[in-house]
Amino acid sequence: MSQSYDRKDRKPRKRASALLAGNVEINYKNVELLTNFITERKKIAPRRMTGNTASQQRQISKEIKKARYMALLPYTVNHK
Amino acid sequence: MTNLYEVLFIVPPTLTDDSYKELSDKIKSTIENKHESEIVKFEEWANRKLAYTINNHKNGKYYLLETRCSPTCIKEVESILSFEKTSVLRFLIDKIAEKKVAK
Repeated sequence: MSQSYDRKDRKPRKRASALLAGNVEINYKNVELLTNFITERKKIAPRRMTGNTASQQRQISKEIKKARYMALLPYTVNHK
Repeated sequence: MTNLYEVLFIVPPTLTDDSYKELSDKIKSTIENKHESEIVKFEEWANRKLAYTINNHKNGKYYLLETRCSPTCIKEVESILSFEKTSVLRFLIDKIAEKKVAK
Protein backbone atom coordinates (compact mmCIF):
# COMPACT_ATOMS: atom_id res chain seq x y z
CA MET A 1 0.00 0.00 0.00
CA SER A 2 1.85 3.00 -1.18
CA GLN A 3 0.67 6.49 -1.67
CA SER A 4 1.15 8.05 -5.03
CA TYR A 5 2.94 10.99 -3.47
CA ASP A 6 4.37 11.94 -0.15
CA ARG A 7 2.36 14.50 1.74
CA LYS A 8 5.63 16.16 2.68
CA ASP A 9 6.49 16.81 -0.93
CA ARG A 10 3.28 18.58 -1.69
CA LYS A 11 3.74 22.29 -1.94
CA PRO A 12 0.90 24.34 -0.53
CA ARG A 13 -0.67 26.44 -3.19
CA LYS A 14 -0.20 30.10 -2.74
CA ARG A 15 -3.39 31.79 -1.77
CA ALA A 16 -4.22 35.23 -2.93
CA SER A 17 -7.09 37.13 -1.46
CA ALA A 18 -8.20 40.50 -2.65
CA LEU A 19 -8.30 41.43 1.01
CA LEU A 20 -4.57 40.97 1.47
CA ALA A 21 -3.87 44.60 0.77
CA GLY A 22 -4.17 46.22 4.15
CA ASN A 23 -7.17 47.19 6.19
CA VAL A 24 -10.07 47.16 3.83
CA GLU A 25 -13.41 47.39 5.51
CA ILE A 26 -15.84 44.74 4.31
CA ASN A 27 -19.06 46.61 3.79
CA TYR A 28 -22.12 46.03 1.65
CA LYS A 29 -21.75 49.49 0.13
CA ASN A 30 -18.32 48.60 -1.22
CA VAL A 31 -19.72 46.79 -4.23
CA GLU A 32 -16.47 46.86 -6.14
CA LEU A 33 -14.74 44.85 -3.44
CA LEU A 34 -17.55 42.35 -3.07
CA THR A 35 -17.67 41.58 -6.79
CA ASN A 36 -14.27 39.92 -6.31
CA PHE A 37 -15.95 37.30 -4.16
CA ILE A 38 -18.82 36.23 -6.36
CA THR A 39 -18.64 33.70 -9.15
CA GLU A 40 -19.64 34.11 -12.77
CA ARG A 41 -23.10 32.89 -11.92
CA LYS A 42 -23.26 35.41 -9.08
CA LYS A 43 -22.95 32.87 -6.32
CA ILE A 44 -20.85 33.60 -3.27
CA ALA A 45 -17.42 32.19 -4.06
CA PRO A 46 -16.08 29.45 -1.78
CA ARG A 47 -12.98 30.05 0.30
CA ARG A 48 -10.96 27.63 -1.76
CA MET A 49 -11.39 30.00 -4.67
CA THR A 50 -10.75 33.26 -2.92
CA GLY A 51 -8.30 32.31 -0.19
CA ASN A 52 -10.14 34.21 2.50
CA THR A 53 -9.87 33.34 6.15
CA ALA A 54 -12.92 31.89 7.86
CA SER A 55 -13.79 35.10 9.64
CA GLN A 56 -13.37 37.13 6.46
CA GLN A 57 -15.62 34.71 4.63
CA ARG A 58 -18.35 35.02 7.26
CA GLN A 59 -18.27 38.79 7.02
CA ILE A 60 -18.18 38.79 3.24
CA SER A 61 -21.15 36.47 2.86
CA LYS A 62 -23.15 38.59 5.28
CA GLU A 63 -22.35 41.80 3.41
CA ILE A 64 -23.02 40.24 0.01
CA LYS A 65 -26.48 39.26 1.22
CA LYS A 66 -27.14 42.81 2.38
CA ALA A 67 -25.94 44.19 -0.95
CA ARG A 68 -28.21 41.77 -2.77
CA TYR A 69 -31.21 42.90 -0.80
CA MET A 70 -30.47 46.51 -1.69
CA ALA A 71 -30.17 45.57 -5.38
CA LEU A 72 -26.50 46.52 -5.45
CA LEU A 73 -25.62 42.96 -6.44
CA PRO A 74 -27.76 40.44 -8.30
CA TYR A 75 -28.99 37.21 -6.71
CA THR A 76 -28.63 35.33 -9.98
CA VAL A 77 -27.82 35.83 -13.65
CA ASN A 78 -31.39 34.99 -14.57
CA HIS A 79 -33.21 37.89 -13.02
CA LYS A 80 -36.40 38.61 -14.83
CA MET B 1 -28.88 56.04 25.22
CA THR B 2 -28.09 56.62 21.61
CA ASN B 3 -26.61 54.51 18.89
CA LEU B 4 -25.20 55.26 15.51
CA TYR B 5 -27.39 54.01 12.70
CA GLU B 6 -27.05 53.95 8.98
CA VAL B 7 -30.13 53.92 6.79
CA LEU B 8 -29.90 53.24 3.08
CA PHE B 9 -33.07 53.50 1.06
CA ILE B 10 -34.02 53.39 -2.60
CA VAL B 11 -36.51 55.76 -4.14
CA PRO B 12 -37.87 55.26 -7.66
CA PRO B 13 -36.48 57.82 -10.14
CA THR B 14 -40.02 58.67 -11.18
CA LEU B 15 -40.84 60.06 -7.75
CA THR B 16 -41.59 63.76 -7.89
CA ASP B 17 -39.42 66.22 -6.02
CA ASP B 18 -42.36 67.26 -3.89
CA SER B 19 -43.15 63.79 -2.63
CA TYR B 20 -39.48 63.13 -2.02
CA LYS B 21 -39.23 66.34 -0.03
CA GLU B 22 -42.26 65.34 2.00
CA LEU B 23 -40.66 62.00 2.80
CA SER B 24 -37.26 63.38 3.70
CA ASP B 25 -38.78 66.13 5.82
CA LYS B 26 -40.80 63.56 7.69
CA ILE B 27 -37.70 61.52 8.44
CA LYS B 28 -35.63 64.57 9.35
CA SER B 29 -38.26 65.99 11.66
CA THR B 30 -38.80 62.71 13.53
CA ILE B 31 -35.11 62.55 14.26
CA GLU B 32 -34.52 66.19 15.03
CA ASN B 33 -37.52 66.51 17.34
CA LYS B 34 -36.07 63.91 19.64
CA HIS B 35 -33.87 64.70 22.56
CA GLU B 36 -30.18 63.89 21.94
CA SER B 37 -30.76 62.89 18.35
CA GLU B 38 -28.95 64.23 15.35
CA ILE B 39 -28.42 63.61 11.68
CA VAL B 40 -24.76 62.97 10.99
CA LYS B 41 -24.94 62.58 7.26
CA PHE B 42 -27.63 62.67 4.60
CA GLU B 43 -26.35 62.13 1.13
CA GLU B 44 -27.69 61.22 -2.25
CA TRP B 45 -25.97 58.71 -4.48
CA ALA B 46 -26.08 59.04 -8.21
CA ASN B 47 -29.00 57.44 -9.98
CA ARG B 48 -28.02 53.78 -10.11
CA LYS B 49 -29.08 50.87 -12.19
CA LEU B 50 -30.66 48.25 -9.93
CA ALA B 51 -29.19 44.76 -10.06
CA TYR B 52 -32.70 43.46 -10.67
CA THR B 53 -36.04 45.09 -11.25
CA ILE B 54 -38.07 46.06 -8.20
CA ASN B 55 -41.75 46.86 -8.84
CA ASN B 56 -40.90 47.28 -12.52
CA HIS B 57 -38.23 49.88 -11.78
CA LYS B 58 -34.88 49.37 -13.42
CA ASN B 59 -33.18 52.37 -11.85
CA GLY B 60 -33.26 53.84 -8.42
CA LYS B 61 -32.05 56.76 -6.41
CA TYR B 62 -30.13 55.78 -3.32
CA TYR B 63 -30.08 57.89 -0.20
CA LEU B 64 -27.75 57.29 2.69
CA LEU B 65 -28.67 58.62 6.09
CA GLU B 66 -26.43 58.40 9.09
CA THR B 67 -27.95 59.29 12.37
CA ARG B 68 -27.20 59.16 16.05
CA CYS B 69 -30.41 58.46 17.90
CA SER B 70 -32.21 56.21 20.34
CA PRO B 71 -33.58 52.74 19.50
CA THR B 72 -37.15 54.00 19.80
CA CYS B 73 -36.43 56.82 17.38
CA ILE B 74 -34.99 54.49 14.76
CA LYS B 75 -38.12 52.34 15.12
CA GLU B 76 -40.16 55.37 14.13
CA VAL B 77 -37.97 56.00 11.10
CA GLU B 78 -38.37 52.35 10.20
CA SER B 79 -42.15 52.56 10.36
CA ILE B 80 -42.16 55.68 8.16
CA LEU B 81 -40.04 53.95 5.55
CA SER B 82 -42.04 50.73 5.59
CA PHE B 83 -45.31 52.62 5.37
CA GLU B 84 -44.25 54.49 2.21
CA LYS B 85 -44.64 51.50 -0.07
CA THR B 86 -44.86 53.52 -3.29
CA SER B 87 -42.05 55.96 -2.67
CA VAL B 88 -39.52 53.64 -1.00
CA LEU B 89 -38.52 50.54 -2.92
CA ARG B 90 -36.13 49.10 -0.37
CA PHE B 91 -34.50 50.19 2.83
CA LEU B 92 -31.89 48.80 5.15
CA ILE B 93 -31.15 49.96 8.65
CA ASP B 94 -27.78 49.06 10.03
CA LYS B 95 -26.34 49.74 13.44
CA ILE B 96 -22.75 50.80 13.05
CA ALA B 97 -20.08 50.64 15.69
CA GLU B 98 -18.71 53.95 16.93
CA LYS B 99 -15.20 52.59 16.57
CA LYS B 100 -15.45 52.42 12.80
CA VAL B 101 -16.51 56.04 12.59
CA ALA B 102 -13.57 57.28 14.57
CA LYS B 103 -11.18 55.90 11.97
